[in-house]
Amino acid sequence: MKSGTMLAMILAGGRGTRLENLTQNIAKPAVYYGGKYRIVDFPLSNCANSGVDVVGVLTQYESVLLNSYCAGGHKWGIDAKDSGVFILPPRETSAGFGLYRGTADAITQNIDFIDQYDPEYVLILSGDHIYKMDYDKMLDVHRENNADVTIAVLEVPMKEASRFGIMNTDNNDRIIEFQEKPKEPKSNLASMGIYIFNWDLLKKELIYDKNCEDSEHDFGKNVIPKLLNEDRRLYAYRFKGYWKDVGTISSLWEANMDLLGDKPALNLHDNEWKIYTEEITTAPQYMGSDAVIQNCYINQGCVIDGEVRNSVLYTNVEVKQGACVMDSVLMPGCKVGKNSKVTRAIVAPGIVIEDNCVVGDADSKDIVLVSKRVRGEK
Amino acid sequence: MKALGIVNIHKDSIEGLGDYRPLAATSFLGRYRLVDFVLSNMANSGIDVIQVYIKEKPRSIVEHIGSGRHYNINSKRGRIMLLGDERRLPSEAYNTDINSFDEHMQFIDRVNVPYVIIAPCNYIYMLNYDEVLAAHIESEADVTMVYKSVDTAKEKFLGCDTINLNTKKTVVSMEPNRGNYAKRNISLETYVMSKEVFKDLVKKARETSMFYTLSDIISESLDTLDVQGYPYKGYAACVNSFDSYYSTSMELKQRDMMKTLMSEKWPIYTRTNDSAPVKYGENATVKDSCISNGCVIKGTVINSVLGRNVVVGENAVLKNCIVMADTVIGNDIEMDYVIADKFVTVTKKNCIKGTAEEPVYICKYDKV
Repeated sequence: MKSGTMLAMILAGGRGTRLENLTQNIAKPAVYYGGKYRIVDFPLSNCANSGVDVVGVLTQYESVLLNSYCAGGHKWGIDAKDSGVFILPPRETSAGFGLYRGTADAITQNIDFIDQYDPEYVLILSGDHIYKMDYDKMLDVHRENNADVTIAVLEVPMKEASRFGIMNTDNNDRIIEFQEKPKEPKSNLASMGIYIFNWDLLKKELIYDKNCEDSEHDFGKNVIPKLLNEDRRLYAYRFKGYWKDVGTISSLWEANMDLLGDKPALNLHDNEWKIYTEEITTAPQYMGSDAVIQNCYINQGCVIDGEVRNSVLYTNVEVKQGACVMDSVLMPGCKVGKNSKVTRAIVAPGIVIEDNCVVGDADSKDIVLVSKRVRGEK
Repeated sequence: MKALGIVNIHKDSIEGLGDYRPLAATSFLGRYRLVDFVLSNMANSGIDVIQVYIKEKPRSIVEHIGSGRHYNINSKRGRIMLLGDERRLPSEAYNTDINSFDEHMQFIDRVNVPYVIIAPCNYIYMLNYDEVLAAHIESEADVTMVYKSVDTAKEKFLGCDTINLNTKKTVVSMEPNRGNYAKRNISLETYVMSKEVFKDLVKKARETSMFYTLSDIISESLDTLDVQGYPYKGYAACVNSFDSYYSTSMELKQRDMMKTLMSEKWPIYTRTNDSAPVKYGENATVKDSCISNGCVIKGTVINSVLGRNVVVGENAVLKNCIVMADTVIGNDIEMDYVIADKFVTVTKKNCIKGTAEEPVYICKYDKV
C-alpha cells in the first residue's frame, strides 16, 4: 500500500439470523445475491474500484466459507505486491481467546494489523450491504472538510427514519446530533455504517474504549457518540444511489427483484463499476426450444426448457420442460423438475425440486424459503 | 508431466473474420476463443508447460491468454509461453509452423521432458493427452498421430489431412481431403513423439524444403519412421473456413453437443470478463440459443449464438445468427443467417438475410 492512504476494514462477522436457513452454515456476507455474486463482493469490488488496495475482512460467525472465499484478493484484482485481502478472525493471544465483543472491538483487536500498513485513514465498512460507491470521493470530501470522522449517510423516506441511526447536520454537513432509531427523527439522513477515520485518532479512541467496563464496544453506540460529545469534527457524506441491507428473506427477495425491469433500481451492467466475484467455469447459458423467458436475470451455465418470468436465476440452474418459475430467486445449482411450479420463492443453493411439485403461492404476501429437497407427488 | 505441450496456431485465417484476429483467437460459442479448447485439454490432461506458437497478429492472443492463469495451471511449476516469430521472413511462404519451431528450438530444448505433444488450435475435440502418451510409449512408435474415422468427409473436414492405415494401425499414406469420399480417416493434426524425433523432423524439413509444414514432413517420413494411428472416438470438428465456422457453431451450441466437449470434470477454461448475468426484457423470446453473460435481450433470438454484452432491441428478430461481443442490434431489426463481428451496430438496415449455405458477414466496428 502506498503510504499516506486509506485501508479498509470490512465487518463480516454477523450471522443474519433473520435469513434463516440461508445462514445456517455460512455468514451473511457469504449469502448469494444478484444471479452470480455473494453479498461481500459488493464492498470488496467497491474497494477495488476505488483504489483501496489493502482490505481486512473481520470474520467470526461460521467463517470457514467466508475465510477461504475472501483470501487471496485476486478475485477482485486486489493482488499486487503490498496489497491484498486479509482475513482477520478472532485469535488467541497471551491474554486468552478474544471473540469480537462489538464492531469497535473487532478493530481494536486488529490494531497491530493496521499499524503494519501505517495508513493515514481507515475506512470501516459492513460486509452485508449491497451498493456501488466510490470511497475515494468520500475521502476527498473528508479531506476537504478537514474532518476527524466522516460518516456516509443516505436520505431515507421520513416515515422510515425511525428504523435508522439518524444524523442531524448543519449547513456545512457537519454532524451536530446523532439519534439512534429515534421516535421523532429530526432529519432523514440515515447512517450507512460506513465511516472514514483518521487512523491516529481512531487508534487512541479504540485503546480508550477497550478499557471501558460499561462500553458495548460498538461504533454507533459508543465511539461515535463520544467523539460527537467531545466536539470533534464529524461530517456527513451524502450518498446518492441504491443501497440495501438485506436482513430478511423478503428484503433479499426484493433486492433481487430490484434488478429486473426496464430501468432497474440497481444496474449491474455498468462497465465503469463492475462487481467482481469468484470465476466459476461453466458451460454457456442455453435456452431450449420450449423455453419461455420474460423479464428475467439469468447467469451462465443455466439450462432452461420451461417457463421463467420475473425471476433471478443463478449459476447452473436447470428448469425442465413444463416447469413454471414466477417471481422467484433460484440460487446456484438448483433444479426445477418437469411440470413443477415455483412462485414467490427463494430456493437455496443446490436444492432439487422434483417433477410435479408446487412451491409457493402467487397470492401469498410472504416469500417462501425452500432449503430442503422437494419431493414430487406420485 | 512427461510432455511439453505445443499449441500450433500456424493456421490460415478465415475469410472475413480473419481480418481482425488469428484463427486461434476467433470467438466461439459466445464466450470462448478457439484456442481455449486445446489449452483446456492440455491443462486438464496434466500438461503444465505449454508453448503457443503464434503466426501473426499477436495482440488478441496475448491479451486472451496472458499469463495463462485461468487455465488452472500452477503459476510456479507450470508455464504458458507465447512465442511469436522474431526473424524477418523474405515472404509469407516461409511463415510455416516448422519455421517457428526451428527459430524457437532453444526454448524447446530447455524444457526437461522426454516427449512433446503437438496439437492444433482449430480442431475441436475432448481428449486426455495422457492416454495418448501412454499408448505412444507402449507402442514404441516414433510418432503417434491421433485420427478419427468419419463418414461425413464429403461435406466436413474439407482440406484436412486424411490418412490410410495398415492392419497394424501404422500410417502408410496421407493426403488432403478433397470431398471425394464419405468414409475417411481424418488426422486431428495431433501428434505425440519424443523430443529427439521432433527435433530431427524439424531439421529434416528445413533440409528438404524451406516451405514445408509439419504435416508435409510427416507425410514424407512415413516410410522411414514408424507412425502409429491413435483412434479418437468422440466428437471432433475442424474450423478452417467461414462455412465450417458457422456450421460447427450451430452444431455445438446444443446443450447435448456441448456435453461431449466439456463437463464438470473436464471444464473448458477461458478468460473472464466479469460481465453481469443476462437481462431478459418483458417481451423477450429466446429459443434454441446459447447466450453469454452481459447481454441485454428485449427482442427475439432463435437458434443463435450471442457473445458477451450483446444488446438486442425491442421487436428485433434474430434467427440462425452468430453475434459477437459488444454488438448492438437495434429495435425492429430482422436478421436471418448473419454472422456479425464485434462492436457492430445494426440500426438502419431493417432486414438482413443470408442463407444457410451463405450467411451474411458484417465486419468488426461496422455501422449498418
